[in-house]
Amino acid sequence: MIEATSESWEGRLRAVASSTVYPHTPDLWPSVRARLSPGEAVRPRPRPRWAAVVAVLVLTLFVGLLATPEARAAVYRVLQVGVVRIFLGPATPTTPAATPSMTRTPAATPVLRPPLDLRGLMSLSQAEEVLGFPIPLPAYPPTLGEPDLVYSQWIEGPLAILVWLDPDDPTKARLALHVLGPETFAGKSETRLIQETQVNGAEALWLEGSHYLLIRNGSMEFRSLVTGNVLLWSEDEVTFRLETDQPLEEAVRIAESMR
Amino acid sequence: MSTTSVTAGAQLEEAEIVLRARRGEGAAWEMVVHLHQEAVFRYAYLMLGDSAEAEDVAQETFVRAFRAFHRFDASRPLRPWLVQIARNLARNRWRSLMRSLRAQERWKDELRMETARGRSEAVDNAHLAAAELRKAVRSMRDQDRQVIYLRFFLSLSVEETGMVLALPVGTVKSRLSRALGRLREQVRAHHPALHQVLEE
Repeated sequence: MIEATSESWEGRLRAVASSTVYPHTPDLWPSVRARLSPGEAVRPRPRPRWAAVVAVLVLTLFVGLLATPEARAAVYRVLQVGVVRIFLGPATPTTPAATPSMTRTPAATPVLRPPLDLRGLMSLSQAEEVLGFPIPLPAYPPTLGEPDLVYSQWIEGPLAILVWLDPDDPTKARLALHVLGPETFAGKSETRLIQETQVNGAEALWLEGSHYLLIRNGSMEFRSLVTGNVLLWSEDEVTFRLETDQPLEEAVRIAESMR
Repeated sequence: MSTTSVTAGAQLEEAEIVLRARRGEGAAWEMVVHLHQEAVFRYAYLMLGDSAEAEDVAQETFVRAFRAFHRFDASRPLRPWLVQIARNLARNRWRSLMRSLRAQERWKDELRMETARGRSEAVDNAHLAAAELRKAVRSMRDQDRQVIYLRFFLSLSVEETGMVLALPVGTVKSRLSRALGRLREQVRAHHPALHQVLEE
């Protein structure tokens, strides 16, 4: 047997290590919260005594603001759709989308350039095997067909990512669908709610935000695969997250065409 | 979206969460737990080989982290700090001989369970190779085990590994290089099936 170079040996070692089966990670938050003394979980660092007077005044104003539902919504919101929990902070002005860097060095495999250089590239049937159920696909637009890229990752539970590439520029995604199994958890902050809507009569959210994903180099990053918005909805314990550059009406139409 | 802007976005995200957690926002603490519990739990499991022990250590890690949050340097990534706390807790726990013996027995049971969980032959083979690798790494000395777990099982960067182990980057690199050399020898000598997977 010809021995592998150190680099390729380490690459294989990393791949083998990534196949390690771990016991299911328990949700630690309830037990951690229970162990912290009452009030500890919301107790800031000690402040000088004089600050207490200011704090009381601020608190009074804060309670006054909370008297109306609109104000309460503006202070803090936690929304849950399927297995995705969204932590919404105070409404802030929308910032323009980041301008793509023009100095990025092209990768060797064009279709797996960032943001598509994700770990867990596999076939659709393999991803279905990992999730344990068949993945429905959009029938609209009629020319869409099967996804060009399929990834499966384990982030707080099984997750499949289906990507349709832009026919005019196959290095970019035009549509990405995240499918999260019922045992998965996704907590999200820095997400902006644009509009509450419906998919097949069920509650859905139209959002701006990214998702925490495992990158091929082993790091975890918040990423958007398509420059656009996100439609989030849940059906039969499966949560779907559609990234598209299309308007909301088109996104809902795509979502409702899934078979 | 470029890699640079995504990475910067991720750092901002964590900085914001840390800021909110320091202000005492329960929702931010919950985010910290949910974002890092898997890495902390898995690391504790690798160290202790027992899921119940790992859960205890992971839980204790977050409780201690929250109580010491004001000492955390917010300019640094959070995960290595949490793993460092987990490491200290797991090492203390491991020192109890009786506990470790019991844990090892349960660990063997869990390994058997894992190998029975696979759904296809390919998946089975991958899991078997991973279980064999863990066996090989567990037989190494603690210093070697640590760098391999952190770099290859938890996929921490060299810098993050250095933060967990309180070592300079250069020392992490040299320690990792020596540990990998010893692991390769160990696999060659005692784990022929894994050797074939890694060398083919």
